Amino acid sequence: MIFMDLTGLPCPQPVIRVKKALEEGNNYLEIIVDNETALNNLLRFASSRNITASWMVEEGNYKIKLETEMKTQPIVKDGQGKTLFLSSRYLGKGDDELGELLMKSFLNTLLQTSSLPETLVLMNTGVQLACDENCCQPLKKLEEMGVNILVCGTCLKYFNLENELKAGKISNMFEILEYLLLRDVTTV
Amino acid sequence: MSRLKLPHNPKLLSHWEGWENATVYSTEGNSVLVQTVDMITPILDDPYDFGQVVAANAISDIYTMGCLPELALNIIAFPCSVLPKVVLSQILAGGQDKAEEAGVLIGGGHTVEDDELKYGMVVTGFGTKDNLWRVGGAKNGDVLILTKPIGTGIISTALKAGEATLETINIVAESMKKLNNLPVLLKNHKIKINACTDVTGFGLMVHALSLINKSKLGIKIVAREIPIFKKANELALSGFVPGGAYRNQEWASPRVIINATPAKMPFDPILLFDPQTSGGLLVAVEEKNAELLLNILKEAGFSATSIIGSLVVDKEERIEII
Repeated sequence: MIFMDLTGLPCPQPVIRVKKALEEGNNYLEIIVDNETALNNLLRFASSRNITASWMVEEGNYKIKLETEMKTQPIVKDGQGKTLFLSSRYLGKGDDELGELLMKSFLNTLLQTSSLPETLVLMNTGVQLACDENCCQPLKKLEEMGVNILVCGTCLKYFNLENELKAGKISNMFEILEYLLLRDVTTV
Repeated sequence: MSRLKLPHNPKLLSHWEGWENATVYSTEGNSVLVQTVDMITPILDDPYDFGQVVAANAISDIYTMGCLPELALNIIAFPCSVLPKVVLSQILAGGQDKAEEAGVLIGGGHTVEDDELKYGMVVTGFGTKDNLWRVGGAKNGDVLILTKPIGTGIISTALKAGEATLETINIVAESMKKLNNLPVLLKNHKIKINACTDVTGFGLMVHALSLINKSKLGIKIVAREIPIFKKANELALSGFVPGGAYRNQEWASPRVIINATPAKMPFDPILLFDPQTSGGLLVAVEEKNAELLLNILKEAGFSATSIIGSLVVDKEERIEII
């Protein structure tokens, strides 16, 4: 808990100070202001951000208590609505040989999880996974299990792989962007 | 104010009592001289822009009376020990350029040293008795037109807090710099303006109430038709509301009835009370003239102009927001 005496400060200073204190991670603030405008603005600020606020008059000033909810990450129970974005055939940067092994293992493990993503987006060298004899197997299975696999058409063209696609469907930047902007995306 | 004597002189057609925007003084025959003074503290960071806003804001009061401004004097309070002189000259250049655009000569002025910068103008204009636009005079069935969006008070409060984007500031600055020169636009049109005021420090609601003062009329305003600056609502909800808005709300709220559901009024009601600088004109005209007037205003660059409501009979003289 921190205590803030904001008496004597003109509008909009009290809101700025409180906003900063919250951004610094303080979850519980006790604030004193000396004018109604500051009180009203702080209550407005709180209600727009779902911060619990209470106030009382104390010695001619206004004492305000603000309490934020502890932030908890919502746990995604299954992969519903989730998009995995693969922009490389290697998992991680560094050693490519290791990266290729890790990607294979990643896709095979994904097959065994109970929380499949809804969509898998393949871009750049990531599209080679859908054309490669070995890697296309887990991708094919994922597709059979209902995962929507989008493969970047421009990338296939670039690598001359247009006729080699073994899993997923050819997509364009417009559709891919829609998934990246509107869904819960994890970049691999 | 109650200790002050009301000025009585047959030549004085309006004075500080009541809601008139400028003092009207009868000169010869049908002619009148109108005079106003206005002074504000900086609301923009750019001194040249601020100077322009001051001029547009001060000159507006002459236009609201249906008159044409001609002469002005500067009044300045300047913190010489804090700000460099170049700031002063930029502010005055802004004021002069805007005055020139309005056809107004700045004849001189007066400067005092003060802790806080303030700039204003005394403006003199001329008109005729039979074509004066008064604040009272709206009739039942008239429509009410607002020519600029509201929200300058909230946005300039956010600007002080460093919370307004450059894009937002620029849009508001352009609007505040725009001259409310409706009498010029209507020179070649026969549109009778029944009542007119500008929306300034008292906010949209109080200025709208001034139009129906002692009229036994009320106003029905459609919330969705009120033009509002982009981001103003978001900034109001974040707590960047100037103290004046709360004072305006306290004063006006007994006579402002909000009957709009949140879906019909998708903004914070405090916007209705936000004090404006160089806000738009609020004009009452017969419905048959509304479309022509709207087109004239839009063509002149008042792109947000909107018919926001209409006059109704109400002996309690209230505003209903629907």
